[in-house]
Amino acid sequence: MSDPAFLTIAEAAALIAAKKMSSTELVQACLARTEKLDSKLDAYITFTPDLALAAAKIADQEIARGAYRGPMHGIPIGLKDIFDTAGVRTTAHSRLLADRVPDKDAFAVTQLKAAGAIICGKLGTYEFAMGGPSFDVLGPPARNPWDPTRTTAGSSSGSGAAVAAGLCLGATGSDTAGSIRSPAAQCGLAGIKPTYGLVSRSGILPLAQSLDHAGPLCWTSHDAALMLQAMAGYDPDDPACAARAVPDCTAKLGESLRGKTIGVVSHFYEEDHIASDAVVGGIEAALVVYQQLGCRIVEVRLPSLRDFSAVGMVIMLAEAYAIHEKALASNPELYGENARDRLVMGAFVSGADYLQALRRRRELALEVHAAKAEVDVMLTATSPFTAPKLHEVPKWGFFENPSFSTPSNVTGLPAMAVCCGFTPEGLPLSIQLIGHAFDEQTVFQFGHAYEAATIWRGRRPPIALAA
Amino acid sequence: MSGCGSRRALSADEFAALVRLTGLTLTPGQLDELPRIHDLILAMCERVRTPRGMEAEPAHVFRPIEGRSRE
Repeated sequence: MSDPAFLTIAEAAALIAAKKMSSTELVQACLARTEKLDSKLDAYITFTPDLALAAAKIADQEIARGAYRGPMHGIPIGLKDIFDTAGVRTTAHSRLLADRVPDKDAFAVTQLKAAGAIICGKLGTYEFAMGGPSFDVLGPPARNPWDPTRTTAGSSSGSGAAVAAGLCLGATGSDTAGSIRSPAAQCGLAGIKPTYGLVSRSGILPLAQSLDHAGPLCWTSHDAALMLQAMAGYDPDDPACAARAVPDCTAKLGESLRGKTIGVVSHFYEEDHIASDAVVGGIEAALVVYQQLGCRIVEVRLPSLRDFSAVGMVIMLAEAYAIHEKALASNPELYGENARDRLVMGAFVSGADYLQALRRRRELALEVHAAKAEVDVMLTATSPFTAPKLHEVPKWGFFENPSFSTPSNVTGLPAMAVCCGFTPEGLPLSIQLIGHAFDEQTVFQFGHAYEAATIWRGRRPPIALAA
Repeated sequence: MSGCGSRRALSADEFAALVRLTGLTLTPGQLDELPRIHDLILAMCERVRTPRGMEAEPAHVFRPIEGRSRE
């Protein structure tokens, strides 16, 4: 067997269930890899190997006596450092919360632990899921395993780096405007922002509650389905959480796509925010694969990307400022420059602006609902370009250019980044699949079918292979 | 406070006055840099407004908590 740290969750789960590999062996492989590599990647902000090994030992004992809990049992994962963990500091990568130790796990963490997942530590984030990449915060920014001089994108930056490099098999992320999908895209992963309300946010430090989503970043769509299955579930402590049964996220994996329809939203990346030739080439090649799998490809026209971005930005700034207003006034020096300056802009959004944005949000959601009626999923770009150098990320880029991710935060629809190849320089490319509300099953079906039909899941970052 | 309701770019003095109303203390660097971003936010606040009559304004949602507290 090759390095266990490069197994998918599905592969590792099969071995653990069959008692051909222990959780301890798998966790040790990931911890050893972290010891070797993380000084170059800065994925973890708080690494907890002793807790992980102790949990793995308990998992092995449970499995040995026949109490196997399911595919996440014994699987090493990391948590974005905005997910509260009882007894382990949760800092949002901010000096403001440097010593904050929650006494309770976030609901999603409780769910993952109940499924038997092994927590290896807390992963770096853009400060408060908004300010990064930054060098003036609690720790350095995560580096992209495909080229450590480049950004992972964010804000789930450590999550992207850790999974790509095999430091853990899956990681949690949060996504207010693309913070799961962007690092998934730049690190060559499958990362899903589920439907708004499918995963509880209680115990997760908020950025903007009406746009915040939690979800997994994994090596494959199949793994993302397995991990989302564990994270999801009704939680009365999150008022937005949907009181509905979680469907079987893996139910459609392996089903044929013949006769299915993909609606391509090409105006997003060809007109509204022109993507690089490499990104467009990756999308076009992916569409050929889907055609070969039997899909019909049609064009879907949605409102301008700038409409979604304006709504998302006004809502996000207002909601985030409401959270940070007091600390920005009393302790601005404890924020890094990026988070501080971006959050401050919320002070200039009026109540009327916020309400107008909420009204426009409803209109946009209805327009998208109508436009996608005849398709099974929509497909567009995840990011307009490959990962830039860490020191070349523009401070205000997200304010100046509309994001391909924001429409799904504004509408609440499930959206997943799927790796669709690499540039000649070895940087990942990504497509974004957008589904109907609470139909993650179909999104996973499309992601899995594409991955199974292509070679990209067989490639790992050179720095990870050398470790 | 007027927020983005002013609908026009602000002079440096006007922006500084607006900042004072927020209760924030900004650095000289911020006072120099942020007016340009304020203009971007103004444009976004304008963009989210679509023409509609008063009668067409959609209702906002508030759901009362049902039942009795158990505490």
